[in-house]
Amino acid sequence: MRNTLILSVLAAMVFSSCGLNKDVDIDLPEFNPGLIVESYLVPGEPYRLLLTQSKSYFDPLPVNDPLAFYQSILVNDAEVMILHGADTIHLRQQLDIDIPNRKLYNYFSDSIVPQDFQSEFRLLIKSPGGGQITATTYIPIRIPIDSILVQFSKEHPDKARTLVFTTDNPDTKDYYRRIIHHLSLDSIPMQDYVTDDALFSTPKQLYGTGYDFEIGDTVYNTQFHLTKEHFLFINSFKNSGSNPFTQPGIIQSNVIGTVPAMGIFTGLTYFRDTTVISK
Amino acid sequence: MRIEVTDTHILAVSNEYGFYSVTCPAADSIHLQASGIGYVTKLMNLSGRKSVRVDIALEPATEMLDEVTITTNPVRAKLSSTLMGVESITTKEAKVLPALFGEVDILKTLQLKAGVSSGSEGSSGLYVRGGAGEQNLILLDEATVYNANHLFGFFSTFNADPIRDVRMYKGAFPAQYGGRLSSVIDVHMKEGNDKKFSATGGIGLITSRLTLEGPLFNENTTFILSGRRTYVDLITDLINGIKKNDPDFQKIPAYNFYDLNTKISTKLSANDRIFLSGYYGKDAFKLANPDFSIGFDWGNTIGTMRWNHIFNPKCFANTSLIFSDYYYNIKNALGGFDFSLGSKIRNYSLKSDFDYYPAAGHEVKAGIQMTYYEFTVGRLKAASSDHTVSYDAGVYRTAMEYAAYASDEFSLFDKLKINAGLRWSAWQQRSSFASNIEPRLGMNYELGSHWSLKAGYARMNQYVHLVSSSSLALPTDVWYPSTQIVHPQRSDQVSAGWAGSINDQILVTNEYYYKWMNHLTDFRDNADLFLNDSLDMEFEFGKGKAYGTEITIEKPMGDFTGWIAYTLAWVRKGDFPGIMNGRYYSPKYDRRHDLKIVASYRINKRWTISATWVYGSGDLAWLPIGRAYFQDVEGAPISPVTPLYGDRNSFRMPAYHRGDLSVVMTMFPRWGSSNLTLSIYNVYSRRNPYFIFLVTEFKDVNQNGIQVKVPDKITARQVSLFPILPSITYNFKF
Repeated sequence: MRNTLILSVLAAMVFSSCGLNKDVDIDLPEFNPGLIVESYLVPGEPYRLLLTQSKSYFDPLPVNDPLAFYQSILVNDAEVMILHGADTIHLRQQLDIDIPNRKLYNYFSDSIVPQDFQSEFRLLIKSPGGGQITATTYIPIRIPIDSILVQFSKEHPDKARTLVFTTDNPDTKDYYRRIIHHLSLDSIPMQDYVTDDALFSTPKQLYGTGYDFEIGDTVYNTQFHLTKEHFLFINSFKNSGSNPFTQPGIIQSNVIGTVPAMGIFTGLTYFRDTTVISK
Repeated sequence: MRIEVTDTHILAVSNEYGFYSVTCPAADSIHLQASGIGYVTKLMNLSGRKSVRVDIALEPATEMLDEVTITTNPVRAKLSSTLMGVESITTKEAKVLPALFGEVDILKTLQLKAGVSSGSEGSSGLYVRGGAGEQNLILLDEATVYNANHLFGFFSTFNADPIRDVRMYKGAFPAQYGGRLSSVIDVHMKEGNDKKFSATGGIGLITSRLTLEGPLFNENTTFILSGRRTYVDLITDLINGIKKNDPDFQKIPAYNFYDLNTKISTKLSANDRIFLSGYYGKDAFKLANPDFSIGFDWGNTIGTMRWNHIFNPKCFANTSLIFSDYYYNIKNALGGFDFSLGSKIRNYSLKSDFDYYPAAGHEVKAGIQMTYYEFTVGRLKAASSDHTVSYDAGVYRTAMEYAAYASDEFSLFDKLKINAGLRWSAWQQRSSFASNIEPRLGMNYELGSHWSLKAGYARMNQYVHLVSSSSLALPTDVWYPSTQIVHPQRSDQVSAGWAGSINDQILVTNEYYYKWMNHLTDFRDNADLFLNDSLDMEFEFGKGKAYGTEITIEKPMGDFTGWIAYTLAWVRKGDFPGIMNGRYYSPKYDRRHDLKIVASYRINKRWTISATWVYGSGDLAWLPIGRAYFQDVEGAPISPVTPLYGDRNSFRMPAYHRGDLSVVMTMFPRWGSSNLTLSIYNVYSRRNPYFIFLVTEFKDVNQNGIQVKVPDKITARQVSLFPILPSITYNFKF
C-alpha cells in the first residue's frame, strides 16, 4: 500500500512538471516612453547624473553590442544643472564610467558635492525635446557604524557572524539602507535592505548576519543614510520585479517633468566598515 | 423539510434545526404531507381540534426504494422560494462530480454555479458577483471560518464526509446574516446517526478519511467524529531517511495537513436539544537542517455550543456560544538567531435566534448577536539564541461587533410572497463606533404554476478586512479590524429575475444584479504589509460596482442530472485616491464570460458517470509595459531592465477552459457499500495559464576590457499548473 502511494504521488509530481512552462507571444498595452533620471549627491564626489529613456518592454534589444544597448537608452543634448545656494553647477554631457563600481553617467561636472547637510539642492533639466524636469533634495548626515562584533558559533566554532551596532537619532525620522558584501565589493550583496528607524524603540540599533563567515573572509558592512524620497524609491524599485505572486507597484519617483519622467535625485551618505574575520 | 396541509395547501418549511409550525383552520381531520429533497415523502392524518405536536422523521430515498419513492420536487421548491441568488449543494451531489486529485471539495463544487468564479487554477477561492475573496462569510455550524484553505488554496478545509450540505447566498441576503459584502456560505455538519453505529471513509491519492457516527449511550445522544490527513510528509520522510547519507542530497521539506470534525447532539427533553460542534485543522511545513530550520504552521480551531428550545408550538429559539480562531506562525532558526512571525484572529460570539409563527402565512425571524474579536497582526519576535539580542513588534487590537435583526416572510394577494427584514449592526474598536441599518427584501410573484418573478435588495456591511499581498490565498493573509481610519466596507445590491419550470423537471432561472460597493479597501502601491505597526496607513479606500446576469438551466431530478450555468459580468473598482489617481480599474477576477456545464448520469445502480466543462474569460494580470535602466548606488547591482507598470490589471490572459470526467463504480459487499471513483481532471490536458511573467536573459560582454552584463532577450513565459491528472479513490461505508 505504501509503495503504491509513493508511486502515485511521484507520478502526479512528474505529470505536474511536464511541459507546463512555455514562451508565449503577448500584446502588452501601449507604453508612453519617458526620461529616466538617476543622480546621487555624495559629499566629496563629483556631481554626476545618468539620463536615459525608458522603452516599451518588448522593444528590440541590440544584441552582441553593449555599446549599442547603451546608445539606445542614453539621452544626449540635454541641459543639466544643479542649483545649490547661489551656485549653479552645469553638468556637461560626458560619458563617465566608474570602473570600480561599474556605474555609468552621461552628465558630469568637475565640481565636488560639498559637505552641506542643511541646504537644498535643485535639479533642472531641459530635455532635447524642450521639456523640463525638476527635483529637489538635501544631503542627509553621515551616520557611522559604532562597532562591529565578530561572534563565533558555539555549535560550529569555525563559523562566524557579524553584529553591527549603530546609534539612531531618536529626534529625527531616519531611513537606512544596509548592504553586506562577502569577499568583494563587486559581488552580489548577501544582504541588501532598506529600513526606517521604527523597528527599534531605543536609539541603539543592532543588525546581524547568520554564521556565514569563516576565518580570513572579508566582510563589507555598508550603512547608507537615505532621504525619505530615496527610501520610497528603493522600496518601490525592489517591489517592481515581475514576481507573479506579489503585488507590483509603481516606482515612486521624486522628479517632476513637463514631459513624462521619473527617477531619483537625492543626497546620500554612507559609512562602510571592512572586517577581516579572525579569532 | 416541507410540511403541507393538503386540505388547505398551507405550506411550512422547517428551519435548519427541523422545527416547523403550521397554523390552519380547525377541522375534524387534517392531512399532512411531509417531504424533503432526497427523502421519502410521508403522509399523515391528524384528528382533533387543538394544537398538536407532530415529530416527523423522514427516511432517506435510497436506491432500493427508488421505484416507489416520492420526494420533494426541487424544481417546484425553488420556483416558490422568495430567496434569490441562492445555491445549494449536498455532499452526496458533490461526491459524484470529478475532483482534483480525487479530493471531493464542496467549495470547488460551488465554483460550478452561476455567478461564482474560481480563483487561479486548482484554487478553492470563490469570487461571488464581483466580490473579492475576503467578502465571503464562510460559516461552519454558525462559526466563522477565517481561512477555508489547505495547501495554499488547492484544497478547502471542508472534509466532505461529515458535511451535510452547503448553502450559498449571493444576493438578497436573509436578515440573519451579515458581516460580509458578497456572499454567505453556510456549511452544516451532519448529525450522527441515531439508529446505529456506522463508519464512512476513503483512501485517496492525497489524503485518507474516516468518519465514525452513531448513538452515544442511547438514541437521544448522537456523535459524529471525522478525520482526514495527507500523506505527503510520510513519503518525504521516507525519501529523506533513505538519502540521509548522501552528501549531495538536499533534504525535502515535510508538509502535511489534517482536519478533525466532531459533533455531539443530545435531547435534554422534548423541548430542549444541545449541539456541540468542533473543528480543528492544521497545515504544517517543516524543514530542519543543522544550520537552518524553518517551521510554518497555520490552522483554524472552531467550537460551537448550541441550545435549541421550543417555547411553545409557535416559538422556537436557538442560542449559540461560538469560538473561532485562525493563526499562522513562522519559526525560523538561522545560525544562532531565532525568529518568529505570526498573526491571529480570534472571536467569541454569543447569539440568539428566534423563529416565531404568529399566524398562518407568517414566519417571523429575529435575533441578536454580539462578538468579541482579538486581532494579533504581524507579531514578530526575534532573538539570538543566547538572548543578547532581541526584537519585538506587532499590533494587537480588540473590537466588538453587535447585531440585531427581524424579518417576516408573508404572502400578499395569494401570489406574492415577501420576505422583508431589517438588520442593525454595529462595530466598536477603541473609541471608534460605527452602526448601520441594513434593509433586506426578497419577493416572489408566481405567474401561474410554472413561472415566477423575483426581486431582492440587500445592504451589507463588513467590519473586518483581509490584508493580502498576493493573488493567492496565502496562509499569511491576516484579518484587520475597522478602526478610526479603516472604515467598514458597504454594499447595496439589487437583483431581479425570473424562474420557470419545464414539465416540473427542468428549472430555468435568470437573474440580473447590480451591486454598489463603498469604502472598499485596497493597499497603496508598495504598501508595507509586514512588520508594520501602522498598517492603517497602508490602506486606500474607494468604491466599486459589479453588475451582470446569470442564467442557469438545471435538471435536478432523475438519473440524468446537471446544469448549465452562464454568467456575463463586469466588475470595476476606483476612486482610490492613491491608486491610478482615482481612476477605475478592473480587479483580477473581472471575468466577462463564465460558462459551466455539469452532467451526471446514473447508468444503473452500479455505475454513475459525470462530466464537467468550464470556460471563463482569462483573468486579468498586472504586467509591466515598459522598462528602464537603473544602476543604483555603488555596491548595489545594476538593474538594466527594471519593469515599469502602467494601469492595474490591464492585460487579459488567454481564456480558461477545462473538461473533467469521473466514473463511480458502486459495490455492495455484505458489510455495507463501497465505491471506486476514477476522476480525470483536465481530460484534454489543456495548458491553462496559471500566470504569465516576463523574463530577461542577460549575457556577459567584454567591452574594452570591462566585463558588462547586458540584456539579451526578453520573453513572456506562461506557466500552467495541471495537465491531465487521473486519480482514483476508494470509498466505503458500513
